[in-house]
Amino acid sequence: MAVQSDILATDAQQEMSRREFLNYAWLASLGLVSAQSLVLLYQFAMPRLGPGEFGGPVDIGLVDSLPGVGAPPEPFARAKFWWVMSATGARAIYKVCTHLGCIYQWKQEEFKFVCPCHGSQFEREGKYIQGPAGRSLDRLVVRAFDASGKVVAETPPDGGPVKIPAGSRVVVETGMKIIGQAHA
Amino acid sequence: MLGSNTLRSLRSNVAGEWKRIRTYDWLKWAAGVGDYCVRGIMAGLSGKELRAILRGDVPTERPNPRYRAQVKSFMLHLRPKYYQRGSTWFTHTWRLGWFAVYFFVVETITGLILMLFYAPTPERAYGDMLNILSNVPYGKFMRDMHRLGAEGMVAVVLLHMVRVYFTASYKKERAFTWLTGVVLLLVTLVLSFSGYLLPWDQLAYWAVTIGTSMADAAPLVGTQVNLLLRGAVDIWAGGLLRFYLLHIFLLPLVAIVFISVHYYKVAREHSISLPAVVEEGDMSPEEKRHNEERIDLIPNLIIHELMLTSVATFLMVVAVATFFSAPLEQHADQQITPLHTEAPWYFLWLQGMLKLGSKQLFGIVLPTLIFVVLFVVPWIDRNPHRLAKRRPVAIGIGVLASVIMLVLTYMGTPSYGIETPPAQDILSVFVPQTHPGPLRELPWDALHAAQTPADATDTHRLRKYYVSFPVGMDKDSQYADRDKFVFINGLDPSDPAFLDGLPPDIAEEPNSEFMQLLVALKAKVEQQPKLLQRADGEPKSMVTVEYIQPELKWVTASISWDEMELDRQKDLTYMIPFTDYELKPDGTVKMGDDGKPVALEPAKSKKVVFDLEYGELVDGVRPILKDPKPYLKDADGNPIYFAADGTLEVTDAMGEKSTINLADAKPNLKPSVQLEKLAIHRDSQYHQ
Repeated sequence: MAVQSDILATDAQQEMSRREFLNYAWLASLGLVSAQSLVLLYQFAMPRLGPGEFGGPVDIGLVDSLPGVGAPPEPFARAKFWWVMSATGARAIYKVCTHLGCIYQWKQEEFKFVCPCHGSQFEREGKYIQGPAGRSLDRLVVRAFDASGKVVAETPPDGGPVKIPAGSRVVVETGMKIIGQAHA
Repeated sequence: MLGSNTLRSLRSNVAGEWKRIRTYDWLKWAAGVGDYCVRGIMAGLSGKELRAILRGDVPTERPNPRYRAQVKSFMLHLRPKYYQRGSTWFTHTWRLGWFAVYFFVVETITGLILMLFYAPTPERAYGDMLNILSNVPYGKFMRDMHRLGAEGMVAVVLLHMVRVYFTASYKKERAFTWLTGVVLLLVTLVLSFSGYLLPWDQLAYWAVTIGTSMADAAPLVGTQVNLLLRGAVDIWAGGLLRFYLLHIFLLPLVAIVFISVHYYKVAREHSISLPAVVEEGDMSPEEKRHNEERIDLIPNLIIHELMLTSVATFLMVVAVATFFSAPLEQHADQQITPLHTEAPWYFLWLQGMLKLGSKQLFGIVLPTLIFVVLFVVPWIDRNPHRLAKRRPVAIGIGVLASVIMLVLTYMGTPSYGIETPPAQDILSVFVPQTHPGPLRELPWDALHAAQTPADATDTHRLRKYYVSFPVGMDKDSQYADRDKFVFINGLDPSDPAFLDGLPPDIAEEPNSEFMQLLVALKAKVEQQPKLLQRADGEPKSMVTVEYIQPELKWVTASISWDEMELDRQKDLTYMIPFTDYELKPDGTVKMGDDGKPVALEPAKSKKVVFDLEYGELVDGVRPILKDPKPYLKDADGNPIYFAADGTLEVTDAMGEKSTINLADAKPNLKPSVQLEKLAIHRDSQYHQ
């Protein structure tokens, strides 16, 4: 404190001079512009995902044309998911491993999904079996529309299976990802 | 009119000038002009002085023009005028900081040249790589130099840090320099990694996909950072362009700024540290004085650097010309992740950590923590001493950290902790998906196809090498033609029985590289207990070589085995034939195009599981304890046990009841094949 009072010895020095004020103003405006340009840069560089790209709704046709209960999971390359139908309902399982983003494959002989990168394994319904992945596979929201275009069924918020009435049209919302459940 | 006097004086003037021109010492004048030019370019150093520098002589003028040059020349002013002798010991610095700059310059030059033939778009990048490798004169040379320089730079920067740590050269006034050095280590790693994507091959694509999805795990900003880096949800055109711009512009710029700050501190503030023995060891005063003497940068050290530049460049060229070859895989494919995607060697430790557990902890938190600790090393280590014996804790931690890093690096390799099906595992050694591998690298002539032409066109000469086969197959008369059927008999090429299985063209050289590969494959296949001999008598492992065209051979390597299926609890599974039908979502049976119900694959329909209980591990095997209790699983995975007489009533999807009997159960064996196929071209770049 003593040092400080030495520096700020007189009242005249404690008062802000016009020059000092102006210089603070320059600095503050430059700082503000820099911060704004960071926001600008962020918004500029952030990718924009339009309809038709992965990220929007993808129509995969009538449910009766899709693989049924017991059939092997069906991959959809462009929309990046596996179509899995069980007795309890349908799931669209996001194709990317929850570990580090590799594309895992269905092994019909072993009856499970196996990731070739680090060996994570998942059940047919996406549940974690073993390996370094921290959670079960992610799900995409499945919506079923009837002939009049009304939503008749939708994946519940927990990502569980959805019962799809026969004859309805299935749309997968690739932008709506439900994170898989972490295992203990 | 000109007067005669004027004429006379003009004549004498001309004669006088002419005499002056004739007798003038033009040589001296030319020497003067030359000297002026040399001094003008060489920061005041005369030609004579330059020669004295190269000869290691004392300065030719006074005051010392060499010091003056270090003030006048921009390039020389970056360097200190002198060093203390001790700090120039080769075994003290190993010149690692110097080599880092050397590699940075090599990367800049070779990188600029490569940019002439490279466009960062998914449509062009890979094709441009092929063009550089096969068409552009010295294109492959430039790329290999660039790759080797990158690996060298990472290695040298890492070693530089290790050296500075162990010689305690980060203390006191050097703390901030250390900090900028850690920034440079980070920049070097990212710089190298950002270049990894540019060839746009499978390895590049997936290594970078894994790398960027690590960013995804970061709290709060992870998803945004990932999107910013990739330019989309997946790496594609946007991501490639962003990585390209990072690689050629932003990161080199950051590197130049930090190299400047880092070197300014070294050159102007504290110089290179003296070895600890000179500073605080028990050296005699004379020896100490000798090592603290000044050595001028010019001439001794600058000439030393000239020599290092020549030797390093020579070694790089030799390496590239002889053994070093930067790999290029198949074109990037978003739909297929290759088996064993391996990070570059300097990130294997990270990949190793990721195998330990959660992505957040091991992919983000711990690496961040490691770098934070690295940043503040000078402020953690308050011990003022520099001699190793006076800082045992710091040395101990350093050794331990190095060992941990090496272990983690090993754990990052595919050989650790990744369970892959054994056949795939074995074949991936011989025909890997991420690099050429031993089979592809064999010389064209080493791959022996059948000698006798099958037809007049002299093509399709197929030879089968039975690497592992059922006993007695080699004695079977239908495989007697050794030109077409070759048998690998045992693992010892010097054994006479081994020669029995070979045709004459191979028997001459039973220990060739190709035969060694086949023997190694045989050993691996036969040592793997999970690969059961196929019940249908198919040989367990076979390699075929087929001469297809004058320039082309097809090579396949396959492993065939019966797979004994175990369920998740490692219980044995058996199959009882049973037909069931595929259901529609509403629970009704799905009808095929022919109006009949769609039957499910019979083998899948009724799987009997023998509930086994295992004892303690003895010699690596867990013995099975009790009589197994067979059961089926219902839709929820709960067991349905068989009746005491071994029967069970089941209902199929059509509602029809039937009884299945354990007596019909067959071991759940699946005939399986793993096959890799290579097309080998005569002029392939992989044949060194």
